[in-house]
Amino acid sequence: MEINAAMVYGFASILLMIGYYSALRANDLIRVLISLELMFNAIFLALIPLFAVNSIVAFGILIVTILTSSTEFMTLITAIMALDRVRKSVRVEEIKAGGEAYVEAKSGST
Amino acid sequence: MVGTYLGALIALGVVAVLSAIGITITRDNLYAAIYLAITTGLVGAIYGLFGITYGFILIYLVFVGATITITIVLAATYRRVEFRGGGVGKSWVIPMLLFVIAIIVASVWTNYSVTPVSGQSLVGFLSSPNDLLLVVLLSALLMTIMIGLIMYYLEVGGRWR
Repeated sequence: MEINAAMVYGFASILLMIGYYSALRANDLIRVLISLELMFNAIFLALIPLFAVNSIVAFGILIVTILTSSTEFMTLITAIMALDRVRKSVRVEEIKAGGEAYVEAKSGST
Repeated sequence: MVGTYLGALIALGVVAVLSAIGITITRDNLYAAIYLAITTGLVGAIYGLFGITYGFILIYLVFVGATITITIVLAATYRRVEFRGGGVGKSWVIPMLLFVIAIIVASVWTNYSVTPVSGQSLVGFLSSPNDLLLVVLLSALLMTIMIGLIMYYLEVGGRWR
């Protein structure tokens, strides 16, 4: 009645690496968001063997992970929509540290 | 019984990995979000396979029902049908494959095992009227949300592409 945890960890690591690869090759922020959610799927999968050790602790970690990831994604979705409102684009190239290009464009236009 | 569980786990995991690969290779954000919903549903199904009912319900209710639904709406709104590839080359697949192999080898050598819940208790869960009502209500909620999403998309997009 036992399954080796290597099976679960293997699937989790494959999903995690596919998520990394998809995020690294993404062209727009929506694809980055989807890749992040795929990575969280891998985390959920990697939590399964912990339920065999201490189910109460594992369940607490699962609740915290799900609620944290959901809140994080809602924040990211709001940030993406705000970026689209300002820049009229959701491309990865539009992201600049500190928004210097936007400040320069605003000061140049006025 | 072990063979049944192992076969079900391998089937669910392989289909989850295939739909995750679909996220990477599809050029359309909407289809990527739909593949993501399939992958997440299968991860939730693996929770159900191991008898972790509360995890199964939480993943379906909060993650699939709320977060991924909004992601699908967002992907339908900002739909792009182009994918040129970002700043990294395809050679980054090699260290990622090495990572996966290292994780599998390390966890095999630790010889750590997971015990699934027995089939009898799964049958017991579904035979209880209250639990069955919960599953039916969750399924109805998901179907209502999905129908609402499709109607929203048809309203915004005009037609199905």
